[in-house]
Formats: sequence, C-alpha cells, structure tokens
Amino acid sequence: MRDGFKSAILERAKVDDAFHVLTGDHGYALFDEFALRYPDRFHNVGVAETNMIGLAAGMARNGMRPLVYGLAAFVPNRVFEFIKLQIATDGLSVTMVGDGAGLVYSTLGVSHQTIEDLAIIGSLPSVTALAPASNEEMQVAVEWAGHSGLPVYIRMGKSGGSFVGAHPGRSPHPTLVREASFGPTKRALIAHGSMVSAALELSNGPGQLFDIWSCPTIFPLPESFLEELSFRYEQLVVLEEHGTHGGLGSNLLFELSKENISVEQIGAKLEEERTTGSYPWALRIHGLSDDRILQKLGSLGFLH
Amino acid sequence: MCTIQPFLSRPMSTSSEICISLGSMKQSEIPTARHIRRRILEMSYAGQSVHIPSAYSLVEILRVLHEKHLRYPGNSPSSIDRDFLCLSKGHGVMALYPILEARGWIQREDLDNYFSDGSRLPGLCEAAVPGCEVNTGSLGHGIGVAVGYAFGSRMKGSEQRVFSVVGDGEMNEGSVWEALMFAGFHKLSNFTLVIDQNSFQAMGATSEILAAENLERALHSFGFEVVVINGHSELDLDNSILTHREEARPRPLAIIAKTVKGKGVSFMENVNSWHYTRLDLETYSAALKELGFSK
Repeated sequence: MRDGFKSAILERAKVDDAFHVLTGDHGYALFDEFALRYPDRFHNVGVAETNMIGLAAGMARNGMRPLVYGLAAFVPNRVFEFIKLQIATDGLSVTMVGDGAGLVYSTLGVSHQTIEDLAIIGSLPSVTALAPASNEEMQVAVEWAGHSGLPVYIRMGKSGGSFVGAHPGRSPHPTLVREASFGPTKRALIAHGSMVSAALELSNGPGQLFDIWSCPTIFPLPESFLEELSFRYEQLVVLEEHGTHGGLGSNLLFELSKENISVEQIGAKLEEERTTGSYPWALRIHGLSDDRILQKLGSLGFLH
Repeated sequence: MCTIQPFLSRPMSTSSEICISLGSMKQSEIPTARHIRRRILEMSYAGQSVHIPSAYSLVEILRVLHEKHLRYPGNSPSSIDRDFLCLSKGHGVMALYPILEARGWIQREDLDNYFSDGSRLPGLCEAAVPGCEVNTGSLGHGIGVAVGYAFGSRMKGSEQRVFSVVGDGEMNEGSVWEALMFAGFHKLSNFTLVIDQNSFQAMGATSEILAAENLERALHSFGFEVVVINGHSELDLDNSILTHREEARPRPLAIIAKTVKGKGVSFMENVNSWHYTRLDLETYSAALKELGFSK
C-alpha cells in the first residue's frame, strides 16, 4: 500500500505543478524520494495537524492542490472540525490521507487505533471517502482525487498483500475480484482495505459459494454499484477493519434499506478499542481473524 | 415563502458586472468609522443580534486595511491576484459588512435583512459572503488559513499581502499558536497579524481568564516583528503596516492593537455584559445619539 502511495504522489506531482504534499511530521521513509525530487513541494509542517489543515485550506484557496498526510488518528479524527469548516464546507480541492487506519497500531493502544475515521468523515457529504485495498487501488485513489478537484479522504490501512484490483477507467469503482466457484450466486462478500486480501485468502480454494467484491469507495457509494447489488444478490456480508457504525457496512445497510436484500456486518468493535497486543491478536479480539470470520460466514450460510 | 438566495446561487455575471462598473476602490467609498458603527447598530437592532461591542472594537482596523492596504484588482473579491483578509475573529463580522456593502459586493438589502429568515449574512464570518474569504466564528481557525494563503503566495512568487485579524480572547486557542509558530519560523513577511486587544473575552477580562503575561515578548519569540499601537488610531495602524513594508523586514508583522470593547458608545465601553446583550428601543436610540445621529 505504501509503495502504491509513494509512486502515486510522484506521478501526481509530475502532471500537476500545483500539487503539494504536507505532513505533520509523520511518514517515515515514505516521502524520501518525493522530497528529493520536489523539495519545493514537500512541506513537513511540524507536529501541528490542526494547523496543517488550515494551511492546506489557505493553499487551496490560493490555487494549489495540496495533499495532507497524517495518521488517521489525527487526520481526520483530531482535526475534524477544521476539515468541516475549512475544506468540506466550500468543497476545496484537498486530498487527506489517514495512514495507519484500523488496527495497524494495535500495540499502541487507544490513541492510535482508528476504527471510526470513516464514520467521522462520512458525516460530511461533500467529502469523498476512499479505502483502497492494494497498491493498484491506492494509485487509482490518489490519481482520481487529483482529477476530481474535490475534498477526498483516502484511508490507508494495513498493506493489501498481493491483491491487485482491476479498475476500468481508473476510477475507484467497486470491483468483483473473485466470483463464486459454481457460477452465479445470490451471496456476496464486500470488503475494503486490508479485509479484501483477508477475504481472498480465507476463501482460497475450491467450493467458494459467494462472490467477493473490493469496494474502495465508501462515501458516496456509486448508484450503479447499488443497482448491481440489488439486481444480483439476496444476501450480503460486509467485512471491514472499521467499526460497524458509520463505515461501509452501515452505509450499505442505509442505501439498500428499501431493497429486498439482507446486509450483515463483520466489523471492528468500538468497545474493544482499548485492546492492546499484536495485530493478529487484535483482529481476533475484534472478530476479524480468519477463524472468526469463517465462523460468522458459516452461521450465515455462506459456507455450505 | 422565503425567496432569499445564497450568494453562491447568484448568476456569476451579476457580481462581475458590479466589479467592472465600480473599478478600483476610492478612499471616499469606505464609510467612516462613525457610519460603520451606526450600520452595526441598525443591523443588530433589526436582527436582535449580539456581539455589538466585539464589532465596535475593530472598526478602525478593518477600515484601514480596506481603505489603505488591501488590493482587489478590478474591485473583484474573487480576483486570483487579490490580497487576502481573514477575519479570524468571526464574531466581529458586523463591522465588515458595511465595508463590503460599500464595495458593492453585498447589497443594502442584505444588511437590512440581517438575521431575518433566510438572511444571506450570517452572524459569524463565512466564505460564501464575497470578501469574507474564510469560515470563521469557530475561534482559532482563520489565522491558520491565512498563513497557508501567505505561504502559498510566497511559493508562487506573488506580491499578495495577507492579513488576519484575531481577538485577544481568541489567543487562548492552541491552533493560533500553531499558526504563529509556522508563520514566524518560515519568515512569512507577507503576513500581518492584527490582534484586536480589547482586553475582554466572552465571560470576562482576559487578564482574569487566560492571557499571556507578556504577549509582545511571546510574539517576538515566535519570530514576529511586533508593534503595540492604539487600535482606534487609523494613522497608527496605517503607519505600522507601511513601516514594516518599507523597511522590508524579513519577518511577519504582529500589530497588538489596543482597543476598547464597545468603542463609541459609553454605556457599552468595557461593560462586558454587552457581549451578549441585545438592543431595545431605548438603548438603540441612546447609542445612535452618542454616535451623533438623531435616528
């Protein structure tokens, strides 16, 4: 994921002179090449995330297209009100990247674990929220954000492994990444970020009874995607390394509430945010380890 | 049914026609401080709004900036080359509206309808109003955006001047100091901060709630040139900005403008309960009279 991000910002700088990168003193080894090649467009603004959003808004109002980078615990969580007033309200062209989202910092405890960032950003209708699952999806997300001229939040979580999403037209549109083994099915698992790879790996073998989608766009969900889901499926499971309130699962529940389709969620538990331990252990506590996911899928009839 | 539309929904040709017809701003077109204060009274009485003394303390500051220093090519509030004024102290916005009216960017009816249903002028500063630039009112926001604008101007190599006006109560906000540190560290000489130091905040005197022991020294240590002046002296305000520019100091300028909260109306001056007090007919008439207007 980080490799995809590194190459994406280099590409964007190449095609857009107004593109600047701001970081709040985070991103170890992430910006080395960018800073070397574009020293005038890389700004470590110090440990001051709130001011970083203000700076980005001022730069955007002055004709620039900045990308601000922070840990998701700070961008968007810490600086939500500044995003609302200074970027979202007037739809400024600012890309916000929240790294380490989800349970990446499982050993650091509650201050850095971030399973509510999508819920926060999703409350701002003018901000597009993307959660790429692979290097490829990350590159598309950064590229698309630049072209859109809109406020965009890009969630960067645990690395997406070897999964490569297919993106016709290079848009972050949801992709059917693996079809069920025995032809058309009425069941689908929809995931974003790290959970796409998890879904692909745990179901890697013959006899998969459901489709698997990667859904890098969280807000707003494309109409065509919602129509396709309604047309093709009767039962959905949404898998995400984010709380079940305010993420992809609850957004799909809302959007499909009038359709004849059931939506179940497998997501992180907000009440477990004080869990501290290894990443695999944290996933297990939150019900996101392979065995827990399989257990849940089994109970929903997805495995037989 | 309300028929008032927000500024953004107006046809673009309307505002550009206005700008072209007015051309460059003449000094005489900015209302006098006395007339701005009358307009504030009229707005706040009609709309039953508060924050009158907060607006009164920065009338001369905004007047001087608009009359002497801010450059808007073609008198356009959206010119890409314009200077940038950010009223970070958003609750003082009533002092700005009469100036924007004089520039032709908002209309008399907008002021007359202040606080009415569907009013296009909010009680705090919002970027949708031409000339307001930034959404403030939540304190500690505007200065960072202004510093970002100044940073961008320097990178573009433009000669734009950037001003931000903050209240001394607003200096409580941590984000203000983040922005100050950045502006000072990066030596943003194109940035001027004006602190409307009326010595009060919402609930009392700053000296009794939260204040730097020596604000001048603090600003110095953050990399600013600092001057302390009478914030109601337009000459002092003008000279301090001119001097900084003429001497080409390589650091941003902070003007600590000592002001009086409620300046111009004796029963409001330094009476902090007026921060949240509304006018009735008696106080409205008395205030008008003190400003030298019969009605």
